Amino acid sequence: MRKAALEFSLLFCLLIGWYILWAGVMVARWGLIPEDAAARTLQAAQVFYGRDPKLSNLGFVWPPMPALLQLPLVLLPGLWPTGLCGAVVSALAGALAGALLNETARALGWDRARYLLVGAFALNPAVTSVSAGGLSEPLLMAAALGQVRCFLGWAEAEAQADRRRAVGWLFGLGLAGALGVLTRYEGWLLAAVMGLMVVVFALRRGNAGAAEAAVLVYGAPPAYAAFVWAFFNWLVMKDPLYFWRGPYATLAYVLAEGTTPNPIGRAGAVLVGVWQLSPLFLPALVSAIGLGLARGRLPVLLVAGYWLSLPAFLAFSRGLGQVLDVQYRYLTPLVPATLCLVTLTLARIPADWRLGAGLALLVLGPATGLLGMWADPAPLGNSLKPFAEALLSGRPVQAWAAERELAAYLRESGAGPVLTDPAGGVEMVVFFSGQPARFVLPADRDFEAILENPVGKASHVLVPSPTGAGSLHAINRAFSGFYESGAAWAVLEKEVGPYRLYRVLGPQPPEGRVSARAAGLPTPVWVKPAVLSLLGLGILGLAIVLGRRIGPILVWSRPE
Amino acid sequence: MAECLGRPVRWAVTGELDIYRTLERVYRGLYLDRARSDLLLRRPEQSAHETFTVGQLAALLLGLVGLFGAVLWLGRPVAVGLIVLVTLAYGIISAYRLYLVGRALGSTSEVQVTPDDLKNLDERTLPKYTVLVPLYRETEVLPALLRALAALDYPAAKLDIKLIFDEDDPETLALAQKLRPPGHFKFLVVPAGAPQTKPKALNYGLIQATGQYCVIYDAEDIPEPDQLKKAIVAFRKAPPEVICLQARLNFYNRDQNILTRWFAAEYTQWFDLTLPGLHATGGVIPLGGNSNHFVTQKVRELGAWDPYNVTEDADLGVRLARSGYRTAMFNSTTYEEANSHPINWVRQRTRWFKGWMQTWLVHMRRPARLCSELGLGGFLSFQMVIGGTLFIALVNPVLWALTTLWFTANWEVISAVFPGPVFYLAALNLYLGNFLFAYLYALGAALRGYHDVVRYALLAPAYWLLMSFAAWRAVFHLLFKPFHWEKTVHGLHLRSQPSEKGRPRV
Repeated sequence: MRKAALEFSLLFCLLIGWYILWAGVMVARWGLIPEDAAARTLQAAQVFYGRDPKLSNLGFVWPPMPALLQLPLVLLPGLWPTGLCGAVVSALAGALAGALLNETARALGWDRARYLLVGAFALNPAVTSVSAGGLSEPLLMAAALGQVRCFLGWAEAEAQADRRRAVGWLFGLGLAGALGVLTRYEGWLLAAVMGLMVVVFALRRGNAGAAEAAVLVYGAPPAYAAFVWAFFNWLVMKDPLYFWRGPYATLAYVLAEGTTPNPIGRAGAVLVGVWQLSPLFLPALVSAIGLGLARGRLPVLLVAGYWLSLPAFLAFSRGLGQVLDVQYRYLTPLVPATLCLVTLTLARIPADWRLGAGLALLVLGPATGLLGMWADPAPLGNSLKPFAEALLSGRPVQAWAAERELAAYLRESGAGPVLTDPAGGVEMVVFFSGQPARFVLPADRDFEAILENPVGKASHVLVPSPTGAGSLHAINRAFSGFYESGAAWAVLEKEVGPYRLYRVLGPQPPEGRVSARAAGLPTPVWVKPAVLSLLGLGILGLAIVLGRRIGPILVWSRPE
Repeated sequence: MAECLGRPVRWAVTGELDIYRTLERVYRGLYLDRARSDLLLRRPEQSAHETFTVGQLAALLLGLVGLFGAVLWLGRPVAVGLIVLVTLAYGIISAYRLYLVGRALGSTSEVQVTPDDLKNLDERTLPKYTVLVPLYRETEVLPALLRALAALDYPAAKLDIKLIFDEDDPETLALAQKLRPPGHFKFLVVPAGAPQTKPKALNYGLIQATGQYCVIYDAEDIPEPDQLKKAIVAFRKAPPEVICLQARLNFYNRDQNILTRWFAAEYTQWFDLTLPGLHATGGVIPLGGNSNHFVTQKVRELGAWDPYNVTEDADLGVRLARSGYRTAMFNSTTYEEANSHPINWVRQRTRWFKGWMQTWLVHMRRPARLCSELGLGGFLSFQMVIGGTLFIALVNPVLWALTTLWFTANWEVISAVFPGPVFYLAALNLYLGNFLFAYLYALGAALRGYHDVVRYALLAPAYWLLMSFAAWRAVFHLLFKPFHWEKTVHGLHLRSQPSEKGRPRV
C-alpha cells in the first residue's frame, strides 16, 4: 500500500512538472492563452483586484470551481496577468487525472504496462494543450476518472459484502461527482448518469432499500453542489436558473448566433469530432460493451455507458440547439475515457498482450491526437489548432494582437473608469491590461447606474462589434447603433480590430486615476521565477501529502 | 484467631452469599462513604463536586465584564472580532471532525476480534468478570435486561453480575426478586443519600466487585452475547496501556419514529466513525454511558467514577487518558433503547450536555497541567471533541438566528459585523459545514446497513435544533442544579410497539 501511495505521489509530481513546463512554453514562448482560461483567471482576479472586489465577481454563468481554485494564486503578485494561474490549476487537475488513470489500471491488475497508458495520456497533445492552458477540461477529467475509480472500488466492495469499504468508496464517488458538478455542466450529466449506475448495480445486488441508501449516500454531495449553485444564482442574481437563461448564458449565445435548422447535421458534427480527435474511442467503447455483455460484467457495461453519455449528451444537446459551439476541446475527456475503457477491457489478458496494447496506444494515441487537433472539424470550433500549429512550427502564435494593443493603449493613456462588458472578446482586453479596477463591469454594483448615464461617471466606453457574441455586449444592448456612430456624449478615440474606444464628453468622473495597485507597478524580474519556484515546492509538498493520504484510500483492493 | 484478636471467637458454617450479605450489612455505611467521597478525598481537583473553581469564576466574570466593556467602548470592532473568533473556531472544529471520519474510514482502527479468535478461546483461561448494572425505577425494562444478561456467553461460575438498586426504589428490587434471576446475579442496595446518581451506584458496586475485569450496562441494554469473550480477546491483543475497551452502542428501536432514526444516525456517526477516528489519531475518547470494559484494579486506582458528574463515563475517559492509559474500540455492539419521546429526549440530552460541561470545567482547572498530561495532540482533541461539541450546540442557534434575520430583514448591523472574508468563511461554515455534518450522519447509517435511516439522516439539521435547545437548558441546569440527575424514562418503545413477550427486536 505504501508503494502504491509513493507511486501515486511520484506520478502526480512528474505530470505536474510536465504540464507546468508546457504552460511555460505556451505562455512565455508562444503567447498562447485560451480565451476561456483567461476569462476564468480574470473572474478570480476581479474578486480581489476589481473595482468592486467581492466573491460574487466569480460570476454565475460558468460553474465556479476552476475560478475558485485560482483564488489563492491570483494573490501572488504579478502572476495572474501572465496566464499561469489557470495553468497551475489545470496542471494539477491533469496530473490528478493521469495519476487516477494509473491507479485504476493498477487496481485492475495491470503491471508496469500501465505506465504506457499514462504516457499515452500525458503525451496526447490535446490533453497537454488543455492541461497546460488553464482550461477546465482537465478538472472534469479528474472528476470523471475519480468517479470511475470509486465506482469500480464500490462495486468490488459490494461484491465482497464489505460494507465499510463500500461506504468509503461511495463517499469518494460523491465527492468526485460534486467536483464535476462545480466544474462544468457536463459534470451534471456525468453525476446523474453515475447515480443511475449506482441504482442499477445496487438493485441487481441487493434490495430496494439498499439501493436507495446507496444512491442517497452517493448523490447527496453532487445534488447539494447543484442546489447551492442554483441557490447562489437566486441569492445574487435573483434567478435560480440565471446560469442557464441569464443574458450571458449559453441560451443567450444560441439566440444571438442563431442555429441552422439541421438537428441531425448538428448532432452528427459532434460524432465526427469524436472520430477525428479520439478515433480509438469508438472501438474501445464497442470492445468494452462486447466484453461486458459476453462475460456478464455489469461494472464494465456501466462504465462504458458512463463514458458514452458524454459525447451522446453533447451531440444531443447540439442537435437541439442548446449548446451553440461545442468546441472541439469539449471532446478531450474522451482521450482518458478511451484509455480507461482499454484498461477495463484488457485487464484480464496475458501481460504480453497488455504490453503490446500499451505500446500501440503510446504511439497511436498522441499521433491521432495531433492529427485530430490539426484537422478541421467544421463546424465545431477548433480552439486546439493553435497549439498544434505552434507545436509543429515552433513559432509563436501571436494571438490576441488587437486585444494586447488596446490593453497597452489603455494602460499608457491612464484611461479610466472605462465602461464596458467582458462579452464579445472584451474580457481579453481587460485581462491583458492587468488592471480590472480600471473598468466598470457588470459585476460592479453601480454598473447599471453608470450604464444608464455614463456622463461624469466613466471616462471611456469600450464596445466590440455588435455581431455574434458582440451583440450580447451590455453597451450594444443598451445603446443601439452606438458601435457604429457613438452618441452625442461620446466621440471615437481609438479603433483596434473589432473594438472601438469612445471617450465620454463632459465633466471627468470623480474617481480619476485608478489606484496604484490596480495600475500595476512594474513587476521585478525576479518575481516570476521566485513565485514559480515557491509554487513548485508547494505543489511537491502537496503531492506528497496527497499521495500519502489519497493513495492508501484508493489502493484498497482490485476492483472487478 | 482468638489470640490475634484478643477475644473469644465463635465459628459458624455459612455460604458465600450470606458472607457477602453480612459484609454489606455491616459495612454499607462505609461503602456509601467511599462511593461518594473516594475521588473527592484522593483527587479533589478532579471531582466535579465544585462546578466552578474560584479561579474559573473570576476568569468568567472578568471575561464577561471585559467583553461587555469593550463592546460599549469600541463597538463594532469588538463585535467583528468576536464573530471572527466564533467563525474560525466553528470552521476548525468542523474540519477536525471531518478529519476524524476520514481517518476512521481510511483504516481499521478498532481492535478486531474474529470468529476464529473466539473459537480458539480456552474457557478455562477466562478470568472472573464483574458486570455492574445500576437500576433505578426500571420495572418496564428489567425483564428484558435479565434475559439479555442471562444470555451472555460466559461461564456463569466466572460471572459476577451485580444488580445495583437504590434504597428508595423498592419496586424495582421487588420485581427483580420476583423474577428470580440465576444465582450468579447478586443484588446490592445502595443506601439513600446525596448525590443520588448512577456513578455513586457504580462506585458502590465496584467496591464489592471480584472480577479481574468489569463492565457497565444500563437497564435498557442488550449486549451481543459474546461481548465479554470478545473483550477478553481484545484486552489480550491490545497493548498494556489499554485498560478500557469501549463497545459500540446503537439502538434496537431505531425505526420507531423519526426521533429514534435521527438518534440512531447520530449514535452510528459517533460510535462507528468519530470514536474510531479518535482511536486512530490517539485522541482522548470520551466513554459512552455503558459497555465500557475495564481492568478492575486500574479503575480503582483512578478513583473510579465521579459521583458528582452526571456524565461520569466521559469524565473517566479523560481521567484515564491523563494517567497515561488508553481506551480502545472493539468490534462488538450493545443495543439500547433510543429515546422516542421529545421531552424525555431533551431531558436526557440536557443531562449529557451538562455532564460534558462539568467534565470540561473540571479538567480545565489547570490547563497547563492537562496539556502536559495529555500531550498537545490529546489536549487539542479534548478541546475539539468535548469543548467543540458544546460550543457548536450552543452557538448554532445564534448563528441560525443571525442568518434568518439577514435573509428576512436584511439588517445592516448584521452585514456590518460580517465584513468580507468573515462573511465568506461564515458562509462556508453554514453551507458546507452543516451539509457535511448531516452527510456524516447518513454515512454512519449506511455503514451500519440502516438503509431506512439514511434518508432521515440527511434531515439532521432539524434534529440539531433539539440538541441546541437541550444545550442551553444544560447551561441553566449547570448553574442552578449541577448534580441533579434527570432520570430518563425507559420502556417507551414497549408502550408504542409492544413486541413478543416484551422482548425488544434487535
